[in-house]
Amino acid sequence: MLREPFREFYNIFSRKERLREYRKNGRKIIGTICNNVPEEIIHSLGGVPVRLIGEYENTPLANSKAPSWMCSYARGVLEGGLSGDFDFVDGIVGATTDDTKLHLFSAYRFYVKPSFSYMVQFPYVNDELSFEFFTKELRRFAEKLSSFLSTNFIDERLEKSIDVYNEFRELCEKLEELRRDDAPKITASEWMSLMLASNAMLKEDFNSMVSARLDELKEMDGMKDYRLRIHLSGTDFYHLGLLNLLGECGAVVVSDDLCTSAGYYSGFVEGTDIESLAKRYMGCTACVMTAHPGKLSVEERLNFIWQRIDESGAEAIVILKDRGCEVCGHQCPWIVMESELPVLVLDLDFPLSVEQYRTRIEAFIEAHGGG
Amino acid sequence: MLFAGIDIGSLATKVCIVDEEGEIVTYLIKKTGAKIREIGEDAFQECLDNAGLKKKDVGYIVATGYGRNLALSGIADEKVTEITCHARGAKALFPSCHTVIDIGGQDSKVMSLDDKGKVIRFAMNDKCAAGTGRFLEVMSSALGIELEEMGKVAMKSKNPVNITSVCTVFAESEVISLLASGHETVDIVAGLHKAIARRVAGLVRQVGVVEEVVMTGGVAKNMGVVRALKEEIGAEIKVPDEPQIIGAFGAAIIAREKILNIPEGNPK
Amino acid sequence: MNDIQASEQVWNPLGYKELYRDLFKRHLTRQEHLLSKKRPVGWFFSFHPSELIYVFDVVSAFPEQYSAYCAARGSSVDLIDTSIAKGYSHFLCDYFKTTVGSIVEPEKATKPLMPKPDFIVDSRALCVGHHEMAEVFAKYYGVPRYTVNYPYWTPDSLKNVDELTKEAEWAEELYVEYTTKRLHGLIEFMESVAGEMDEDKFKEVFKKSEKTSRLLVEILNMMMAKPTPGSQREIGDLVFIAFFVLGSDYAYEFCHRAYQLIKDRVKRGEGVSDEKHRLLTFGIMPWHSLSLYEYCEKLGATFPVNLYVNASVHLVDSSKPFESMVRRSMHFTNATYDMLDSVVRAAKKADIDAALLLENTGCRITSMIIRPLADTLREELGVQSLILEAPQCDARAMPLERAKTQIEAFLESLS
Repeated sequence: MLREPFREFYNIFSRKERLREYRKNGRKIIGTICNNVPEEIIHSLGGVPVRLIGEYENTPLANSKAPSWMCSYARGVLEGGLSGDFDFVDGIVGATTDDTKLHLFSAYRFYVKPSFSYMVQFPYVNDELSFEFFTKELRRFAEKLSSFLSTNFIDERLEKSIDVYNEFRELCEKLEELRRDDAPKITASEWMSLMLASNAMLKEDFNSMVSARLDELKEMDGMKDYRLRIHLSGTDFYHLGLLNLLGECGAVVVSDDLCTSAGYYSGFVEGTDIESLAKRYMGCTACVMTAHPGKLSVEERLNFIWQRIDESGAEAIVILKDRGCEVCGHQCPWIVMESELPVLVLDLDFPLSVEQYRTRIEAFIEAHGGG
Repeated sequence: MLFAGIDIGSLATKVCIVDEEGEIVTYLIKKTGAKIREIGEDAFQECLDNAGLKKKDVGYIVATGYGRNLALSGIADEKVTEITCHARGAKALFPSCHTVIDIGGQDSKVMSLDDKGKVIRFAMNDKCAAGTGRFLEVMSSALGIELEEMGKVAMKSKNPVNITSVCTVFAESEVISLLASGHETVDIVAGLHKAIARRVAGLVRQVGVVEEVVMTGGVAKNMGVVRALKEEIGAEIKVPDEPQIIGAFGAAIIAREKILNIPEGNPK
Repeated sequence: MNDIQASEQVWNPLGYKELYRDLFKRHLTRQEHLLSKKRPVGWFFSFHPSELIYVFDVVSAFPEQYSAYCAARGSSVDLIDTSIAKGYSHFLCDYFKTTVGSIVEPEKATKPLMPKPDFIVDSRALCVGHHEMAEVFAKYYGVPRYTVNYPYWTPDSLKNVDELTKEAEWAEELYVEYTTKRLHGLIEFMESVAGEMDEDKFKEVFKKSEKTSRLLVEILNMMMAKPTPGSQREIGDLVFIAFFVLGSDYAYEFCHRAYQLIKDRVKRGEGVSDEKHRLLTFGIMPWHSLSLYEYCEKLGATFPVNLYVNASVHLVDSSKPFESMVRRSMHFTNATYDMLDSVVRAAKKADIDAALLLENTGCRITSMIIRPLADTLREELGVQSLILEAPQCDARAMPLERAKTQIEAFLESLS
C-alpha cells in the first residue's frame, strides 16, 4: 500500500541498515525515548540520535517484565531491548516527561544494561528560573555524553547541528503543504513512513534524500475522492495498518499532533547556542508536560491542536487513545469537550484488531463525511 | 418498488423489506452459522419466498452488520455500518428518539442522534462479552433457565444479589458460588440483569442520555434488562415490537431514501 | 484441621486504632475551625512539603487520602466508573479516577466531600501522575496551581541513600539547588494565597516535624524486630502522617504514643501473631480490603518491612528545612532501579523470607518497579515473591477470595 519512494523510506526504518552502517564506521547510536531529548546535542558530539521505536504486534518479553497495560510504545521499546533487536543501540537518553517513560528508562537500564544512559531532567514550568536550570542541565548532559563519546562539546559543532535539524523541520513543513492540499498527495501511512525513516538515519542524510525527491513528490497524483479531512491526535503512534484503514474508509489525514510526527518537528531553534536549544525544547506546546506559569499544559496543547487544524482545514478529529497512554488518558476528554469539530476516539489495544476499528471509522465517516 | 436491508450479525442474520412508504412488508430472522459468505443471499431469498416476492421486486439492497463487506461483494448494492442503521431504524419508528441503545449477541453500542436522526456520537463495546447477550446466554446455561425466561424470572426478585465480577467467565463462577451458598435463584438472576445493565450504562454515560431513549437488538426482548437499564440511566426506555430487526429495518430505510431521493431523517 | 487453619487464631495488633481515631478527629477539628475562619483551601499530594500547611494555616485536602477513604467505604467503584464514562482512561491512577468521579457526580461520593480548592499544589516527587491529575483538577475548578518538579534520581546524581531516613552521601548540587528554588517559589505562592509567612512559626513547625520524623523512623526500625511486633493494618496508616500531616501537634503526639507502644512490645519480645514467615511487602495498600493483612498475619505471615510506608518517611533536619524538603524525594520509587540496593539492605536487616508485592493497576510507579524488585530479591537474597494485582480503590479487580487462595498457596510453597 505504500507507493515509492515511501516504501524505500519505510524499509530504511524497518531494516535499520543505515544505523548499522554508521556503527560499522565507528559512530555510536544513541537511542532516545522522548521528543524532549535535544537530539542536536547528541548530533553535535558525533553520536547518531535515533528515536527508539519497536514495531511488534506482540510483546511477550516486555509483558514478562512490565505490566501488559503499559502503552504500546513503551512495550515496543522494551521488547526491542530484551529481544536483542536493539543490539545496535549503544546508549539511551530519556526525559522526565511521563511516568511510563521514566520507568521505561529505568527498566531498560535494569534489564538491557546499555553502555550509556542519561535522564534529562525536564522542567514543568516554562519560566526564567526553569530556563536557567534547563540550560545548565543540557550542559551537564552534553558533558556526560561527551565523556562517553570521547569527544569535546564545541559550540560551532552545535551550531551546525542546529542548522541540520532546522533544515529538517523546514522540509517537514514543505511536505506538510502536500498533505494539506485540497487533493492531498501523501496518504497517512506514507506520511508516517517518512517520519519513521527520519528517525532511523542521520538527519542530514534524510534531508538529502527528501530534498532530492521533493519535486517528484509534488508531482504525485493527489487524492480527490476522499470523504473526510481528519486531524489525528495522540502521542507515540506509528501503526501503519490503522493508518491504511483510515484511507480505505475514505478519510485523509491532513494534520496531526503525534509525538512521532508534528510533535517531533514543530518549532525551530531560533539561535545557535545551547540557550536557544533550551528555549525551543521548553517552549514546545505540542508536548503536554510543560506550561507557562499560570497556564495549564493541556490548554497550551489544545491551542497547538486548534492551530494545526486551522492551517490544514481538517473537518474532524480522530484521537488515537492507546489504553496505556497516560497523556491521552488524562487529556482526551478535554479535546472532546472543547472541540468544535466532531471527534472520534479510538481506544487502541495492541495487538490491534483492525476490523473492529473499521466499523467505528466507517460509522464516523457516514455521520460526518461527504459523498 | 421495494427496498431491503440485510443485517448479518455474528449470531443472527436479519432481513427486512419495506415499501415506498417505508412500511415493513416482511422480515426474517435466521441463525448466521458458519457460512457467512452465503447467509446474506440465503436469508434474503428465504424472506422473499415467505412473502411470495421476487428479487426483481426489490430495487435496492443495503447490507449492514459484521458480514456487510462480504454481502457487498455478493448481493448488496451498498454497505452501511450497523451504527447508522440502528439509529435510522429507531428514528423512523420513534421520531422523538435521540438515544439508541443496541445490545446484541456479542457487542453493545449506544448512539446519540440529532433531531434528524444523524449520529452525533457513539460508543461501542466489542472487546468484551460482559454487557452483551452472550453474558446472559452463559448465565442461563449455568442456572438451567431458558434464555427466553430469564427476564421474567428477574422481575420476580425483590432483593437482587450484587455480582462483582467484571468478566463473563468469572461471573459464571461467582453465580455457582452464590447458588452453593443458598442465595435465591430469582435474586441471582436479577443481580445478573443489574450487572449487564451497569456495564451498558457505562457506555450510555460516555455518550450522554437525551430522551427519548430507544433500545434495539435481541436483548431488548428481555424486560428484566430493560427495567434494570432504565433504573441505571434514570430514563424511560422505549422498545420496538421486534427490536432484533431494527438494524435491517434501518438499512432498508436507507435504501428507500437513496432511491427515492428522500432527505435524511424525513419521517415515514 | 490442617496446619494453616490451626494457627489462624492469634492476632495481636499494637492498638493504634484508637490513636488514629484521635488523630483524625483532631485533624478534622482543625479543618473545620480553619474553614469557619474562611482560610483558603489547598489540595495537596503525597511527598509535598506538608509542613507548609501548618506554617500557613491553610485547610488541606488530599485527593489520594479521600479516595482511599471512599474505597474503604465502598463508593470508589461507582466513582471510577463515572470517570471512565467521562472519557478518562481505565489505566490511570485509581486516586485520580475516584476524585474525578467525586467532582463530576458528588452525590455518589462518600460524605463529607473534600472542600473545593482555592489552589492546588502538585509535585513530581513520586510521579508525573500527580502533576497530570492536578492539572485536570485545576481545570475543573479554575484555580491557580503551583508545581514543584523534583528530580528523578539517577546513579550519577545521587549516592548511597538510607532507605528510611533518606540521608544521602552525595546529591547533585544543580538538582538540589533548582528544587530548593522551586520550593522558595512555593512559599511565595502560598503567601499569595494565604498571607505572609511567619518565620518563627516556620521554624517551630519544622522542629515539630523533625521530632515526629525521628519517631516514625524509629517505629519502622522497630518493626523489623523478631518477632514482628505490629500489624500492617495499623502501620499502613502511618503514610497519612508521613505524607500529609507531618508538622502538626497531633502527628507528633500520635507518634509519641505509638512509639511507646511498639517499644514496650519489642522489649517484651511479643509479636503480632505466631510468626512463621517474615514478608516484605510493597505497593499501595488495597484500601477496600485491608483485612488481607490481618488474614496473612493470622496465618503466621508477618510484615516487618512495608516499602510503601518506608518510602513515605524521611528524617527532617530542622536546621536545614529546604534540604529536608528536597530529601523527601530521595526514595527508591523516585529513582532508577539502582536504588533497589537500599531495599536489599533493609530486607537483609529484617531477615525476610519472602515478599508480597501488590501491583496497583493504573499506577505506573508500583507496577513497573515490581518485577525488577522481585528479580532483585531473588537474585540477591534468594527470596521468592508473590505478585498480586491489587488496584488500590477498585475491589472488582481483586476479588478477596482469589487473593487469599493465591496467598495460601504461596505460603504453602514456603513451608
